[in-house]
Amino acid sequence: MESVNDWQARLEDTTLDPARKTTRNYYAFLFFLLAVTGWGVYAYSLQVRRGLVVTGMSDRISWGLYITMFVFFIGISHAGTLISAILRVSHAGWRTPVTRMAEFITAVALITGAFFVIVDLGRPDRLINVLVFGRWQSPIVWDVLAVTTYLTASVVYLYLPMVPDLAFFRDRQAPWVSRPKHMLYRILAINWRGTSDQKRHLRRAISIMMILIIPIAVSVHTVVSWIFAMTLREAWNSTIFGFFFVAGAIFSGIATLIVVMAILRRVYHLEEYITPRHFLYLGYLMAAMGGVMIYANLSEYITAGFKFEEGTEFLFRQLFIDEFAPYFWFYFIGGLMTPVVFMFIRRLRTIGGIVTAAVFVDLGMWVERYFIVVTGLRAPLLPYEPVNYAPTWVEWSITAGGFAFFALLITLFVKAFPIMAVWEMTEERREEFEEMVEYEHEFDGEEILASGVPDSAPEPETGGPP
Amino acid sequence: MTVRRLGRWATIVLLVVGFVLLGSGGALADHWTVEVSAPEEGALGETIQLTATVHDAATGEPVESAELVFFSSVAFAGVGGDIELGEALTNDLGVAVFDYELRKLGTHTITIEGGDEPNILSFPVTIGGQLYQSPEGINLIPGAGGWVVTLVIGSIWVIMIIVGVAVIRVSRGSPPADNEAEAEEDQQERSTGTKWLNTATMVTAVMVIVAGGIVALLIRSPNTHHNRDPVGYDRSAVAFVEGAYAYPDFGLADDAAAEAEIGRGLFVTFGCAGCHGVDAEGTTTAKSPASASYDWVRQVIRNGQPGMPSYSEQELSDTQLNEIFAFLAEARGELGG
Ligand code: HEC
Repeated sequence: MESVNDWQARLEDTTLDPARKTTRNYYAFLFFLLAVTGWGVYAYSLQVRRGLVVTGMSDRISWGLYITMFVFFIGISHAGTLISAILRVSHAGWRTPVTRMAEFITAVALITGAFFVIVDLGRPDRLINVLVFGRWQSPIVWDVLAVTTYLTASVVYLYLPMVPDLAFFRDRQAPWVSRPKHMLYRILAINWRGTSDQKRHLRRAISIMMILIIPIAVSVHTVVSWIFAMTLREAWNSTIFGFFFVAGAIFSGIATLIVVMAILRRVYHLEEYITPRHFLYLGYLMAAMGGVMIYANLSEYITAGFKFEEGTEFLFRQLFIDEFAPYFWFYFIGGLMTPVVFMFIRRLRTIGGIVTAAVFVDLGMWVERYFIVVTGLRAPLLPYEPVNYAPTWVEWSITAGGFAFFALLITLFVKAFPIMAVWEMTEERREEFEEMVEYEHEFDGEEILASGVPDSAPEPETGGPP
Repeated sequence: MTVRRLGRWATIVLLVVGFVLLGSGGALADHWTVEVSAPEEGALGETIQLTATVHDAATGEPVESAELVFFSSVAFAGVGGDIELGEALTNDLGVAVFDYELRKLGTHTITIEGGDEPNILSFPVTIGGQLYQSPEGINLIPGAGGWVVTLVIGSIWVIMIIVGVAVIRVSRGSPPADNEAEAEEDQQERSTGTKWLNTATMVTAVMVIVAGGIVALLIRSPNTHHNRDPVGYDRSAVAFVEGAYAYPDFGLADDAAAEAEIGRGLFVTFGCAGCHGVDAEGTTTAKSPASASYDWVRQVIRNGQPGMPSYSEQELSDTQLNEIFAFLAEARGELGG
């Protein structure tokens, strides 16, 4: 049996690898992302010059793709909070290898999401008015406060457990890393020497943050939902909205984490640390959240549909039968049922299957954000003909740019920072090892794995029989 | 025979009744004196009472159930006229009261019809107190208010700053290292100023600044909209469409399409859109002017049309006329004419 030190050395090597070796594919991918982001920036510059006329939005449907993207990204930012904070609080040991990625997704998704609010403004220079003329009575201001707080908290929460790992990067990379990079690690590692004093303070800081960030995260998505629910619109007039958005956020957050995890695992050969077990557990969590979402949908639509007040008919028609029916049913069947069904079928409970389900969930949740925004505004408040909304190429370009920007930040991060929590993982391994010695009991992590998923061979990326 | 006689009687009775009614009606209308009154001046948002007292001119008795109609003179889209506000009946003292809500600034002119001559009331309306009175809503809960929000957000930030301080502790908590090389490096790092001016301190400083900003925003919040000091704050300034849609600061005005864009704005400001439709598509009032030639547009604008006012050069300059025409030319393309 290998000693903890050997194990740690191997883990350190694996974690250092992405930062040490840069393949040609990496540059190609980077170039691609830069190109798409650049195209989005160009489209945005056009919008700044011409105004919002270049979009498909109008006086009556005044929110479209941009707000969809905002809600979607704020949603997936819940990945980090859930996986990291909730599991940390509940001492779920298996989470450690994936926390770093989850926390990073949180920070990056928040930055991307917040951008889209600015993109949605016809006069971005007037953003400052939110601060100058802000009033706490306005849900928009709640949103600004909640998102700012969450962004700060999640960056801090990403940073804290990374300090020892940054110190390790500082020390280990010294001979070959470039000067500015070394400088960066030295600055960020804030003199970390791993003394017991430092550990104590750091642990304390982490444990405060892990609790604090949960209510903050919940409040953020609740407030995002209130932006909708606090207006007089039939489709959004729902008391369940806060809860519904938070559940949806966690749901899509897990899905995004699964996808990002699968890609990084494949590209950087993290098979040893990110095991089928992680996919399985996250898959179960995702399925559970899927169930919650199905329940929330039923609860919401049945209450509204039973009473069938004036206006509900129009809404139900466009959502379930007419214009938006394809979106809705894709969301309901593809986005909500898929993860649940997949987790019930043993043959689909593979990495490939779970990743496929996660992709469906992400697509479904994106579509859901879209139709929530558009159907709500489309239902006329006065006896007018409804107007329609179709995004223009500018909106599509900026949206594509947003996705590329999100991927770009992750790609760059992987290059510069430790993608796994080496420190925490080692500490845990050490504890496990000590327990093991204590009980003279052979520990096999894989034993926990209840399903028949093989542990070693790389899985096919998309479904299909193994 | 009896039928014919009956018919004759009926005709006579009807004629008599008719004359009596006509006569008395005429007599009533002709002999009313109406006195009207309104407050000296009003404040925006206030509801004032316009009163009219009706007396019989001959007897001096108050007239009951006399109907008075209140009109307000308005100008909209280049045309002026009176619109009816409503009616009021006099009570047994001959007094009719009409509630009138003051919704715009400036001089209000009210015409009251019912007497021999229309009576005219005129009074200025100025800025008063706060316009918007919020209903109870959440305030029904005793103690609920901005301070709760401030407290919650404030304490979250205080906790985050505590975390920041813990991080500063981490950065300072390195005792002498066990080997010499490390100790030296340690020394070096300390001397280059990393001890105080390090990331941890900076992160914490940023958090303090952001937290301060947020708390400041919340505290300032009730005073941002001049609702505490309405004097000199002219709400009406934002209440009308002025200038063009084009945003000069944002490069729209430099564009080739700028002229037409400005024209689009003028089309609304000068009230053309009120009769011809916002996109110059034509309405039931007036047909679409989009297909008219330049000379004809010029002629019509300067001289008017039956049902359309004329605009002199002082009102609408030649440049503006050209811009409007540019817009009409563009609209022609869009309307497919
Ligand atoms: C009070 C309503 C009203 C306003 C305000 C108004 N118009 Fe007109 N306009 C008319 C009417 C009525 C006609 C006669 C055409 C018809 O019978 O439809 C007319 C005719 C025209 C014509 C001639 C159309 C043709 O093909 O013969 C033009 C051009 C025109 N208007 C331009 C304008 C412009 C420019 C403005 C603003 C500066 C304006 N109008 C403001 C009511 C209006």
